[in-house]
Amino acid sequence: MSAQPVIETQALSKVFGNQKALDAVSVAVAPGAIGLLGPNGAGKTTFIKCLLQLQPITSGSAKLLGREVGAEGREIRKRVGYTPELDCHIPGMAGCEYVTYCAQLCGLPFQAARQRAHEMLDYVGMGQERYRKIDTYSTGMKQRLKLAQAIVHDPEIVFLDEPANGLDPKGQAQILELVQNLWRAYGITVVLSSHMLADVEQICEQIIIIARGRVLVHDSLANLKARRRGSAEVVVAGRHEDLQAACARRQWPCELLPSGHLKVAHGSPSLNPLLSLLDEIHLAPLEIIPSPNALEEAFIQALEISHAAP
Amino acid sequence: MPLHDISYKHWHGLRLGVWRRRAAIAKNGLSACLQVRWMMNLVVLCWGLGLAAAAILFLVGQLLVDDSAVSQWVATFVNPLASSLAKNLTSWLKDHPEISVSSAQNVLFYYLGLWLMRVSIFALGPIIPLLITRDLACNAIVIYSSKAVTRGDYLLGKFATVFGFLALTWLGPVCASWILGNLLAPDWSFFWHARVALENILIYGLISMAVLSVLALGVSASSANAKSTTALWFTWWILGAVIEPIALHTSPWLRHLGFGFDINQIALHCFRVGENLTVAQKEIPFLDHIRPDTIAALNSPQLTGTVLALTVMIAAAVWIILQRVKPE
Amino acid sequence: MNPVIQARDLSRWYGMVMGLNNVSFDIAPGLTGLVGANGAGKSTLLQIITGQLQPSAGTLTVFGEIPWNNPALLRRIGFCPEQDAVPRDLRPLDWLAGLAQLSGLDAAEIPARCEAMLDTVKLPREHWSKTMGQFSKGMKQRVKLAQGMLHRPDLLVLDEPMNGLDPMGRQEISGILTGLAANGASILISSHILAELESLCRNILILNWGRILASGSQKEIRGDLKNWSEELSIQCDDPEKLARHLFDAGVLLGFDLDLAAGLLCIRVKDASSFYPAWTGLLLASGVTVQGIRSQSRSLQNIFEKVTA
Repeated sequence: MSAQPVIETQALSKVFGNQKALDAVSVAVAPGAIGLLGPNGAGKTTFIKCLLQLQPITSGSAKLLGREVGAEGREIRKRVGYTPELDCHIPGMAGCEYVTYCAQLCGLPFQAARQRAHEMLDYVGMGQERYRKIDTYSTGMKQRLKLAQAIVHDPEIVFLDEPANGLDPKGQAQILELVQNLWRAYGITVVLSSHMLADVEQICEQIIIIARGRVLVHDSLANLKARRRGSAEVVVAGRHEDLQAACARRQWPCELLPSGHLKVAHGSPSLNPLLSLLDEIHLAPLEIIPSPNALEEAFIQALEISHAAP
Repeated sequence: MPLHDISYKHWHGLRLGVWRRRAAIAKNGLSACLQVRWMMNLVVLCWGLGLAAAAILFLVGQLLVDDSAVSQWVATFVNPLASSLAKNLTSWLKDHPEISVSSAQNVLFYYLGLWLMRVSIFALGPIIPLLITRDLACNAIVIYSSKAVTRGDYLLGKFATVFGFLALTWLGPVCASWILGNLLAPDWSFFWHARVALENILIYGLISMAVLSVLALGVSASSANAKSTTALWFTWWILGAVIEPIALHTSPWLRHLGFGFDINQIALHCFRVGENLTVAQKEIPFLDHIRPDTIAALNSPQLTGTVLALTVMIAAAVWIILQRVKPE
Repeated sequence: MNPVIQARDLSRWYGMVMGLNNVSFDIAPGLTGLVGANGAGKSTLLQIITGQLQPSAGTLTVFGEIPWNNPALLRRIGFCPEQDAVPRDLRPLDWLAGLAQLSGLDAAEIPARCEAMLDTVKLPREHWSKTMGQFSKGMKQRVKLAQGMLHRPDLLVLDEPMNGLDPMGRQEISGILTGLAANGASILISSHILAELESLCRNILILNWGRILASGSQKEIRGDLKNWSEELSIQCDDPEKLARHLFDAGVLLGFDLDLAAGLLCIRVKDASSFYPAWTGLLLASGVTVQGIRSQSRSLQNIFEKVTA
């Protein structure tokens, strides 16, 4: 049973002066955790902004949650959350007041808004800071607050633009865990636009790659990884040359990476043949990462195709 | 069950309509305005002035009553000759309620309205950055636009914020003053005679509050710097006030560039204070000392120029707002 | 080898607020990563190194000299700050040319040098004629990097250099930095993206609440941690079977099963005796292995264990 797509566009185009930010984009995206990737200036942010009506569409149509974006924008946004990349908040309020206000702007009555605001602030892990004015917040707290205001009105879909930007490693891990749970535990579709491919791999099952205003790849992460099955990144403590020689004997392409790891294309669905090779030469692996950088390679490949095309 | 579930919960309750959301914006804005330092004091001052006007109305009303404490006080402490003169005047006034009540209240509320409007315009200065300026500086428009409100809803809510604020500093005190003053009058007929004043208050008040709200929003949207927008508001107001007497003799149309002058002209047109004073002058000798050019000025509101000037200003304000307040 | 940066009992206070509290360390030549939570004192340290702040107590020397008020030394140091500090109304070449003149470069070679720098950071030529106010975050980042490298410094200090760059951009910048290090420059990178630092930098400096928690190579730090145990996670078709086999072999200190994801996470008793037999054990267990990852090797893990 296929669910109704949450995002549907037909020949969606957006033109800035004589520059095409989006070029006849047609996609149908099912509910889930979706990673939106693309180089800078590719049109990722423009795509999200067109769906949210932060930018008017030049031509074509777009449907969000099954409704036309141009006609019913305000009502659609009752069920949509958004965390913008840049620093923005409504000034002069304490954290809990701000989230309450955001809930009211999406139609929640005041009592319910206040209650849910505090629940969301608990969810994002904000303690007593919620009673202080937002202007005094650190980056980490502001990012949590942005997430809280995006989900306080119980949206069906949330657009997150670099939610872990500017956070220290602990903060990044915490925000990512929260975002991961949104889809896995609570069924809220997540569209994550990020440059951190590792984060996208961790959270998302569907991948959309946009470059030069066009959708180059729209596939599940599992499929993208499956295409790269058969290669592995091997981390060993010393004796790279032995492994390289052994691979050469079996005619397996082997590449030494700048980090000191070795990339071996062993061509089989499991690691057991590679393990027996290592056993033969008495070399113990510290790590063997299957289908390494699948996402990164898909990304680069897609970009190369787009650069080659006129 | 022993362990309670405090994880994320979905919301299945009702969602309110768009007017409630606009009201939320207005309410939020208004409470932010009232939290500005000294703003509550200013509001209290306005209501105090209204109360004072009501007190004056009460005293004037009491003067028209023969055995009231006030007329007895006047009789006892004021020069007996003046007292008998006042008694004659009083009886004459009782026979002419259109002057004693209607005109008197009209004039009183004209001047009350004038002064309260000045206080309100002054109070708007610190409020201006809280309207749109701060939102521009903090990119809040993006947040608003991603919620279930449009730019129109946002602007409507902000307009209601300023309008509501002016209702607190002007319309509320003036209307309350009218009601209280007439409530404390010796006779219920005072309400009927004073209806003209109330009509003028409402027409002048609603028009000028609407105009000021739009202009305030326009000034607020002109920059993302709080100090600039406040300074712009005060500079415009003060410059207009300074130019007014100078331009009277050189180029009278220049006076219309100051919104204070234009608002005053609307007041003059609504209240027609000049007519009241002209009629009263004929009957009451005391009022001879009012200079004829004052009466002439009060009698001739520059309506055409005012309407033109305000239209241009409002159009410019709206244009600035639409340019600066963009969702992205 | 002489350390590039040396700090002895360095402190910096802002009234009662602590920036750095009695830190001592040596930074060796090459690529070094500076890691710490927000508010740990990284910015303070970088500002002292680049001569923008004086210490409240103690000393910090770069190439043996104190950076404060030392134009001769500062000429050998390049700094790429985190903030969006490019002037909005200038074009990149004009800005770089101005900065080059301030650095005392020969007027004749300035235009060529500036163009070379912009080419090195791979700023596309079509953007050279635009004012920097129109640049995206990534482009501004590249220009900032160019100005840091302009005078070919011996020490390059970078604060969040990968901020705003897409994955390709990060790869390009990593390549540039590795090239610079190979040519003899020393580079100090402060970043939150531990995965990048892990592959780029051999040496790491970990700050927390104004104090140094660790300094040295990743390997040394890892070796020095108490209660360190090798943690691995193996993806296979029958984690339970593998767990039983490894347990019977007597190598496990503990393990966790995630049957839904097909994962077995193990903690090993003794790494030195474990690894030589590892591949043999795996093959003998009869399971089909899909992946082996270390849970304890990455910089992320080191950081978490050190700051715990």
